[in-house]
Amino acid sequence: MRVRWVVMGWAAACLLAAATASAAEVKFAAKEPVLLMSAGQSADVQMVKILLDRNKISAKTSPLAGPDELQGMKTLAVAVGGSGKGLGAAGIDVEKEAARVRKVLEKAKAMGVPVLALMIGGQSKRGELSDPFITQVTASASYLIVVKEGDQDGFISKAAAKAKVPIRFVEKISEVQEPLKTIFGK
Amino acid sequence: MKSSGCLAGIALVLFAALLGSCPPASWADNPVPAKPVEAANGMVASAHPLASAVGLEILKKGGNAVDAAVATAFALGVVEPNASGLGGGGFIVFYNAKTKSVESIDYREVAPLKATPDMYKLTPDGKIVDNATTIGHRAVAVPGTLAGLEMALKRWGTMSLKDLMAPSIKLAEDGYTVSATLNGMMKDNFEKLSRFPAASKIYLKNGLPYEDGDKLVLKDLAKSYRLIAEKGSDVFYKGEIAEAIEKEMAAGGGLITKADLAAYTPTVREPVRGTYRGYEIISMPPPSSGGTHVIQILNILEGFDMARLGHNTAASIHIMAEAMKRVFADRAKYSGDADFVKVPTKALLSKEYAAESRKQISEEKVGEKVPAGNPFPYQSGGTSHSSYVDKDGNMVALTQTINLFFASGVVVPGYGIMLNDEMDDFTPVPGNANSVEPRKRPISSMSPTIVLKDGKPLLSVGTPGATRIITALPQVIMNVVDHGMDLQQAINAPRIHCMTGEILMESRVPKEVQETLKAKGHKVTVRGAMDLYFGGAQGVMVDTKTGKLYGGADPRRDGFAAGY
Repeated sequence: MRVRWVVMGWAAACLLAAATASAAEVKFAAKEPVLLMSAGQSADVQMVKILLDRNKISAKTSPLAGPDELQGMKTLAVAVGGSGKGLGAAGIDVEKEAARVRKVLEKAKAMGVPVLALMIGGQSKRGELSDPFITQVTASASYLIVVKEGDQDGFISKAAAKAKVPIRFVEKISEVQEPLKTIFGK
Repeated sequence: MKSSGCLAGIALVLFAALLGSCPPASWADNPVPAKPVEAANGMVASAHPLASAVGLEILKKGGNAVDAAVATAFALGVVEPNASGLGGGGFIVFYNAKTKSVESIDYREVAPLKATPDMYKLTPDGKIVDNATTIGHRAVAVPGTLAGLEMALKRWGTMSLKDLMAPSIKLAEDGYTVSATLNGMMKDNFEKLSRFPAASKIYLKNGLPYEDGDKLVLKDLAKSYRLIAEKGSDVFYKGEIAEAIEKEMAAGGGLITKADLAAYTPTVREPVRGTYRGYEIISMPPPSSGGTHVIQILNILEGFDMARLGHNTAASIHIMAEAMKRVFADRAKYSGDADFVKVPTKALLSKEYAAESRKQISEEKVGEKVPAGNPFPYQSGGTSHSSYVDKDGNMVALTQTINLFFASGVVVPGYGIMLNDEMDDFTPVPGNANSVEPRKRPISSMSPTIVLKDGKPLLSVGTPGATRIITALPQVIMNVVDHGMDLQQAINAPRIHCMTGEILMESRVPKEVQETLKAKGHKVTVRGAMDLYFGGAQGVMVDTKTGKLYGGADPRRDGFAAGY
């Protein structure tokens, strides 16, 4: 009985994902230069940097970016993933990180800078620390690129559906390169 | 309208397609075994299926539990490279079925000769400058794994080092599939792996972590293993590999020299012993604090009717947490390398001392914060445990480590050896029982443990998880002894951890229990459902009446038990 409910829940999440994935074929175009920051201070931001560099996308990487760093930027890319180690290394607590992220997102909105959210950490970047950042950033995002393994429970899909944000799912981190290429017209 | 109809159609087609490829019902990364593995002749339980398969192959070929343990340990260095290997150290406890005795070998790493108590600089708020105890060359202590495994083999084994390393050489050369667990480790330690070119070259694929399902080949490590298999351990401690380690250390500002490596010796030690409700608990003595404190926790809890209090009820968790707090306060004050400082092990192990601690525990109230003494750094569990039993009844518990996941990040170029960051297990300031001194071993929580019932081997169990080792093992043991669980149930059951006050627990502890504890005044932090923070216990058990063997593996890691 339990297995049936779980499978039905997964099927519902699949449908939702399929619907939003279809919507992701809606063209989203982004421009350079990009301000790349973290929401949660996980190492994912460094991986996104590599993927941007591979596509020769002009980007300034500033994991702890403040609102002022949006000056002159055409896109805000946010690598979403919480890390206790990363927050500790950055000398910042969760509340301060959330406040910083909020300020940058608000400034981006005010400036009309689209937000590209990347959730590439998979299942290991889900949970009590990461999920609030996922919700926070998704609410302000124009587009999501998500490693599918991180959305097994449909949490990200639901957040995206609520915020009416299109999602592009990929299987692996390395596959993020392709949608970035398309988005930035490379 | 037209587009939404099209969308619905696509969704339906997708739904049908996806139904055929839906993931299993469990959301855990690894399937959760419901029952222990059963066998008649031999059993291996380790943190990786491929490593367990290597150990089982050795048992089937006629090797004994120690042969299997040594072979599996080398295999773990290949398939779980983030958690143990040639660059680290460990402990092994062995029940000898012939002599009915239990011995242990300490192959913990030691501080280099040039190490000093004040070798690390601290910021005004007590942090280590540049994370020098955990990342980089100065974090590395002199490795002991190879020497320890070799000693175990010479003392208790029957097969040659060459034969036991052969399966691991093949694994490293042929490569293996990266699991979700290893992928997660690589992602979590991406910055560390990116920082060191030798590590990046091996553990990153085009600059990004290997993904779940990718193939990882470890050619350089295979080369090191081949050299050792052909030339013996001297090539590591005195020869070509020692030269390479010294060269890398010199290049990176590390302290280890060839002289340090040549001088390294593991040590045979008399295990610590205690009893819990008539079962004999045997584990590692100092420099591991683990064995002593596991027994100490059980001594305190023996005075409560844990069976009546129930498994993971608010009442039993409260008592466990109170016991844990007191034990960790003692650990902070007294634990160290007994070759260098006086550690009151006998007193800590005594029933009398436990009774005194128990008097301070109220079943109704949360105890006042027990002073922690000198604080220890928060640690992650880059460690691996494996358990073995063979057809003759020999039993092995082996726990080894490189300290934090992916350790120092320093890989010996060309040799694929990830060097430990065991220096982080010292207290980084002078004047403490656990301060740095040349050739001293830092304290450990590792507790490979053997349990006897009526003098016969019942259980070999252990776990990684830093200080959570000390709290996880009593819970696994009580699950078997007090709560009548089989080995797999005992390992699967939700765990808690408490050091100085806050109780951390897996979310599978019932919500009402969580709320009752909070109402009582405890600070409760809930983590994942099956969270590797709480260790990865692997165990083997013997039915002392029938002789049937059982293997239990922890789904919190890639644990796998195999028997025949």
